[in-house]
Amino acid sequence: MTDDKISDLAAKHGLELAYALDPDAFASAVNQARALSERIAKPNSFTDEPAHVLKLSSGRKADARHRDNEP
Amino acid sequence: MGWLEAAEQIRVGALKSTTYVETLLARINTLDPQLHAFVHLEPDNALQQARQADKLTQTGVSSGPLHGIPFALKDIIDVEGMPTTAHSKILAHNIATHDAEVTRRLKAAGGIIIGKLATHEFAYGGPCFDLPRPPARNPWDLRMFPGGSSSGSGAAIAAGLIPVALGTDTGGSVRNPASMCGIVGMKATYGRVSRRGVIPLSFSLDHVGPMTRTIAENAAILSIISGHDPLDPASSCKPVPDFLAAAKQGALGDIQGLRIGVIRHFYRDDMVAHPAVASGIESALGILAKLGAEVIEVSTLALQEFTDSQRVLLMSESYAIHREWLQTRPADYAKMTREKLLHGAFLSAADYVQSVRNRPRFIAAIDALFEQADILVTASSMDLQFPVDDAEAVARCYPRQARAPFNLSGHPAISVPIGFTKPDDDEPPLPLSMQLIGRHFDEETVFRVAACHEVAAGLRNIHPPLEA
Repeated sequence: MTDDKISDLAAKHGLELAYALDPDAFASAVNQARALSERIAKPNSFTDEPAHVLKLSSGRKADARHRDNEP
Repeated sequence: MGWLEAAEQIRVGALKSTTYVETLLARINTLDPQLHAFVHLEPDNALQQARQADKLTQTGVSSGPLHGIPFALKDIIDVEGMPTTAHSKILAHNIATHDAEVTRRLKAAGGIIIGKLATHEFAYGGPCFDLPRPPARNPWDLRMFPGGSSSGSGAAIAAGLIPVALGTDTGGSVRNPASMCGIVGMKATYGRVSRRGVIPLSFSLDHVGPMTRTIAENAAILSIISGHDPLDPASSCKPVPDFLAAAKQGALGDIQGLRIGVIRHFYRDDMVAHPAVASGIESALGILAKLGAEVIEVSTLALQEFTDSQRVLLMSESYAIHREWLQTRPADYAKMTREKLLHGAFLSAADYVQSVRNRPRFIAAIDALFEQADILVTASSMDLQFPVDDAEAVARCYPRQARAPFNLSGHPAISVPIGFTKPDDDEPPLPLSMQLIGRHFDEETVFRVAACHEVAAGLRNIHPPLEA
């Protein structure tokens, strides 16, 4: 992301002062948050609430009661 | 002398609370200029309370299990009339108008508040050198990081400056300093201990927990501070068992047939722990197996999946709390704190909702392990202690831990000492630790196994070599 876009983002969030203090650290926070956002586990389905289903995105075998639901 | 023994001596008149408090204050005066564990001390007030406790003792009255025993609190926990600064310029002039619920319970049990302890700024930042006060240091090696964010609590307990301290734990901040300083740190089940009057970091992950030198002391404090608080929306109505009794039962070696599930992949595959940590855990498991426990290996979701979701919740909720100050007073934060808090600005509502929706899946994943095991064991910290002023080591090692999954899941988890590193020419022996995790609201089994290991491993009376 360019410096201009990051300063725009800072303005959008009312964080101009924080950006001015350390633009590099600010850009690093933006990038790290975006990487985390892409990495987090997503629910399997929005219509079939997966709360009780151990469908493992890591592919690791589940150990216990939901064995039938393994990928 | 531990606080349980001191309390018994005070109760029978063999020790004056005044003498005990004076002794500790002298130790603080001598050692704290190097340790920086305290950010606020009220010696006169503490001595006055000690004199009152002694007067009550003379009339045969005891205020409770902590009668005449001093304690100190992480400086995000309110004590009426004392500063709560969160170790920050932002709250430099903040004086608490009420006791936090945990403070009220400790006082009601007869405890004497002696002061406030260093924390990472707002329980989040890190060991920072651009704040009004320096970071706490590790009593085992003053060059080293004592863990955090309850860093002053860990250092003060390990150094014997105070027998009882409370910390808070959002991603491991009680268990990390316990791990680094070789003491006992307990994060009970979410909802077991009230957070009212404690500066929040992340309301759905925050816990308050006791930090002590021994398991029994820790169990007794948890019994005192636990219980329903109608003014903490997350507070549980579950009855509070006698945790000290569970610890005493464990100290007798009573773990025959207990099933211990070891989550090895957290520290062998998902993150690779320092070999001394991994071998220390194996030694501890060997001790428990010799005492009759059945040790089995269990596996669950990858550690990174737990920690990623925990971080989204933590970053989003902490940003919601700090947004206005970040917009108007960013220069008043330490650089490290400001950088960490800013992450939350760039996560979306959808990210937060995804993590909230996924949370039951993570809880179920841990719950499922308890069909095979009565208690779980894994690493606490992956790395050994590192220099407190090495910012790169802080950034590299701080996230390398297996504590955050249990903030996300709410299961009770304790960090306990398991031995020491081998000393060399550069470093003295430094504490190693492991983590024990129980079913929701089954802290009794956690204390039982922890106390059993503590006695069998013979680690109760080994303290840092500090000259007072």
